[in-house]
Amino acid sequence: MADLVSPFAEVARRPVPPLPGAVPQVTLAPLRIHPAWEVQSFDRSADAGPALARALKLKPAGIGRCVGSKGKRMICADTGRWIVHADAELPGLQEAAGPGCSVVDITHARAGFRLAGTAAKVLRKLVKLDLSDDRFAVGRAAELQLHHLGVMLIRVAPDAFDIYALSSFAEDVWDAVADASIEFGYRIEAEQGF
Amino acid sequence: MSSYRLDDGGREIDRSQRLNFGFDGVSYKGFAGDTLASALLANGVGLIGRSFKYHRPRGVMSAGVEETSAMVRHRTGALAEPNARATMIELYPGLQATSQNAFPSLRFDLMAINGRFGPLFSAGFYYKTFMGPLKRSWMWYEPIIRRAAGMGKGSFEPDPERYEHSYHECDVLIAGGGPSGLMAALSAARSGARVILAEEHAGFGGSLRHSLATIGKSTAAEWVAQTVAALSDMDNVTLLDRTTVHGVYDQGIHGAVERVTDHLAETPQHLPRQRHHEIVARQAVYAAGALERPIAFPGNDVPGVMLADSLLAHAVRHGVAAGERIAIFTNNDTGWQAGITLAEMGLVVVAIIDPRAEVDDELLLAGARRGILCLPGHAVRRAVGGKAVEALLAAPFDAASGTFTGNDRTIESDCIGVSGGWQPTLHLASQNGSKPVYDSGRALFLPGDGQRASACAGRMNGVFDLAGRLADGARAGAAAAKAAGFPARPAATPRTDAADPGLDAIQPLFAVPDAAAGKAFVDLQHDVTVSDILLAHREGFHSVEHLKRYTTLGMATDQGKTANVIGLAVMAHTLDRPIGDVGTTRYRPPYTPVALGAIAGRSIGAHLRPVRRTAMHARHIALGAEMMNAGAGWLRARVYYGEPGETVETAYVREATAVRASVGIADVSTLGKIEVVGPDAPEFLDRVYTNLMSSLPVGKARYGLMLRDDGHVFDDGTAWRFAEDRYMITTTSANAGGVMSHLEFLTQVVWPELKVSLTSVTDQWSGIAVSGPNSRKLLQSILEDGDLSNGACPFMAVRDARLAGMDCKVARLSFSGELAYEVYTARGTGPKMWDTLLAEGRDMDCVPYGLEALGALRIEKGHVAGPELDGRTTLGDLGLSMFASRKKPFLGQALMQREGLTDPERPVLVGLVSQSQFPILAGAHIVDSMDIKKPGRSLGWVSSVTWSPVMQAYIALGLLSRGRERHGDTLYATHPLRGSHVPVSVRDPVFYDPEGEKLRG
Repeated sequence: MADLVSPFAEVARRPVPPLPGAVPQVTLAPLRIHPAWEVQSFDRSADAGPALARALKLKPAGIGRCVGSKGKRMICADTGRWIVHADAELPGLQEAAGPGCSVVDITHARAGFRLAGTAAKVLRKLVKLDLSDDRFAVGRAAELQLHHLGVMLIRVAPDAFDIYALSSFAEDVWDAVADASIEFGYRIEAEQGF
Repeated sequence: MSSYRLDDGGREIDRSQRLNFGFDGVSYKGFAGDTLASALLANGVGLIGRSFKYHRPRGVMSAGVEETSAMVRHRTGALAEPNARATMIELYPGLQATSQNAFPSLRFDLMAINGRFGPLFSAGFYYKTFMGPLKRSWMWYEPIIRRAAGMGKGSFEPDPERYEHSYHECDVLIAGGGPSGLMAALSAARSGARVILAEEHAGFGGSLRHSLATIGKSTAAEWVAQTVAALSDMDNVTLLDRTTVHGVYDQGIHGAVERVTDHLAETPQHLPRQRHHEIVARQAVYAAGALERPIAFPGNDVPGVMLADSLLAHAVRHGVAAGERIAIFTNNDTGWQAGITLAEMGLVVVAIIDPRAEVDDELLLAGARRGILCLPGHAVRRAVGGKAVEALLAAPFDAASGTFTGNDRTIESDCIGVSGGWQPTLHLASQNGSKPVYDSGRALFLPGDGQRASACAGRMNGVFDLAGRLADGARAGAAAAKAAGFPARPAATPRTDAADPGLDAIQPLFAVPDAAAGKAFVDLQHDVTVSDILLAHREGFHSVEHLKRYTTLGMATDQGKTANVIGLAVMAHTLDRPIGDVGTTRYRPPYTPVALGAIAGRSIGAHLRPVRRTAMHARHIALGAEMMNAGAGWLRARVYYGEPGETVETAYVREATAVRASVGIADVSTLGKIEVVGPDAPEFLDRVYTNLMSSLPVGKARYGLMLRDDGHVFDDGTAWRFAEDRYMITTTSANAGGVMSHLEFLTQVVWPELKVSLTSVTDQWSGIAVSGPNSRKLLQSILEDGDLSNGACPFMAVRDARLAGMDCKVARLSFSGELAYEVYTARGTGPKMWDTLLAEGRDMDCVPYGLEALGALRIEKGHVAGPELDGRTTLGDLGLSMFASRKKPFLGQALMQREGLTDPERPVLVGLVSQSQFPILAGAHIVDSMDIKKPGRSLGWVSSVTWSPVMQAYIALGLLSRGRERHGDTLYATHPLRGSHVPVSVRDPVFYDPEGEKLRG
């Protein structure tokens, strides 16, 4: 993937506003483009999640939850719909999902970045979801609206969230999040893995 | 007016921090902690502005949110905010404010002449007077009237301030941080609920801010500080001061505005001026207090006439005496308490005038002991003075008959504190479903039944004594927590020594008798007088809703906080009906004005709406592209200004010509792309497309059209078959979201039994159209794996290939009518593919081409696009009936055959060629009259236009009634709004290569 231009290639060139304090309280980091798939069950009433989780050697994920381990994670976005992220190709995914599911490569269709620090306070300005620690704990995921757009939000740590948007909108979503972070001061970090 | 700063006192000001500020260009000094109102009073400035209609002098009448007279223009230039309440502006160094509605000066206002013609300017005056003599006369009068009347003026410059939004969920929201609000917060928080406490002023405490009571062993101020500190220490409590809860909306959503930096001389760059909070609360406690009510008497608007409690507030909070000789006019005991307390503080209170014949002996004694002239059984007949109160006339008054019974006596006074009772601030309760109920005993409206997931506490609940308010707050907070699912643990109510008089002994008096004889104001901000109410009654506007609209009572920026009850009481008296029967108008949000900026938040400028960029966006910019919003947020290259002095037209003509001559590339990544997967994918596509897709061989693409249920064309695109059970379909760029939603609805709701899934892959791919006779040659020059020869990759084939080290899908599709391909590669490799094609094509004069050239090429080819697929056209209209399969049913099939859609008169697609040197305008109507002034009946319309390099003429596509029968005719494309009337010849819509030899070559 050496020739790939990140959807966030331009954002690092934008000037970062002066910090209000000595230390930035927020960091933004593009997530390296990684293999990703949307897996859908043709029959939404049949729960293909456990079988898929077994094949990925992950614990089953309930709706709105993200489970991950060793370079893989699986998010149950909806009834019968999962997003699988991996740091390398997963050639057996279709077999793992079984004939009752479709597997579609969305590696380049969505782009993510990580918001860390006083992230929940930043997101309070942008999303209409209760992000308190007990209501949206680490491992929770939700598809919701941010900056008028549908995004996937995953809480990956008490102070960090991954935000995935359609790649063509990713730069704009980044700008909206960076703008909301000005109050706390933010720093852009180098691209990182999920 | 002779207001002044007291030598000591003022618990909220810091006398060590002296601040300079300006009003009407004059420099004054105040203290940190002052409001603009208190600082002006401290400087002896009583005249603050001019009234709305009569331009009467006006001054400060309150100490808080209900201020209706002291309206100023705060700040200057683009930051100027009109109609700002001086009582709510916190003083900061360098503050600048100006008076409003006065010319040439505040003291000498020419428009004060309006006051002389007061009897003319009664309610309904404009409506009655300025309707003639001609029908449109009002249009002439209106600007003149608006210049003469009105309030403050905006800056007419873009607001440079930053505004933000914030979203919260909580178990209990408490609106109001006075004694009951603080106790409610303590109780709810100790019960375990997540609590948000919002207080509209800079500090918490509400009425305790100027209370001299002790609570427990502390002063009121100390108790507030201790309680706020205790709440701050609790993780489950969010304290928001300077935050006004302005409205209640559905599902427990409350709107609130926080004034984050309004009190600062300069806004720090990282902070917003204001923040709009959207608070979703499971339960709410409204502890918004009560507002003191004035009494209408002639001259009750002269600077110096104020609310009695506000005199105390200014004295205790800011160390300001509002006058040197204060008189109190009250119909209840709270006014006495205010007057006596002021006297105890050392202010000169000359008289307390009370219409009640019998007043509590202790109050009379306390007043007399302090040298106050106590006049029970009297009422104020009028205030004397123009720009300031000089005296008042009081006369014996019989409360039973409501009449004056004796001669006037003059009382020298420069400040009249009025208390006509108190009105709970019902706004939030009313917005949340409560219908106010009148308590005739205390002359106030209370919250009634019907409130949703909320309750009231304290004064707002009709509890006026401090001990009761503390207890009521504790109760309400615990009850709200319990209703939100927590075990109720009410906080212990502290003891208090406050001897609150209450309102039980009130003598209702809203307007003095004969008030209509002079200008006795009900609504000071809108200059509505008692006589206006009586006029409305005489003219039949009896309902409060009609009264409001006819007189504009309560329709100013203060929304009649101190006016409405008086207005409807006067109406009730006139109708001889109980006040409760007359009722109130509906309280509507917002409670106080909300800046439009706060509502817009950050959705302005570049953040107004999201924009969508292709992976090659930076490449287009670098190549000199003019980018345009091409629908659905997409930024696309309109043209590339490749040569000096190029215009849009010369640029696109150059680009289109280059494509026809050799080769060009265009970014087509924006086309909607949906992967349709599953064993029933072929069946699904057969149902949604008009033509067969199940018969499409793997490795081929097919053009297809979808109809709406009603038989009109919905969208077009191509379906590519990757495998027996896997297709990718493309949609128009602008309609991709709509198509995806439509198809998802079909799979989830209409045909859930079909084993098929849909995934949007629009952004998975970068798409580049390579068009022109040299397109194959260009691709073959970078081909590493695969075969793109005509035999191996014929028209409409889809092949995997490796080009310049990149894995691609190459589809032989043509929108331009030339030999052409669409190359799809992983989104992030698009820029490299773009660069490679341009570099390799340099020898072939390969050019990038934008939307304008794309449009020119497709119009020459007669291909339909968005302007033709406008939701009104059918397959037949567009000459695409051959795509309606007879072998299978499809969506829209039944209704496309209905009579209206098969009418032979329907406009059908035609080509048009300008017969002059003038362009045909898009949107022009097609007519057969050569006279632009009498164009006659429209026969159709022009949908797409361009200059055609091939035809060397302006050409167009259009929809023309019986168009196919009119080929060869000369008609006119008329656009009267733009003065265009162009003769056009009608022809077949395919201008270029009608046999399709080039694209198949």
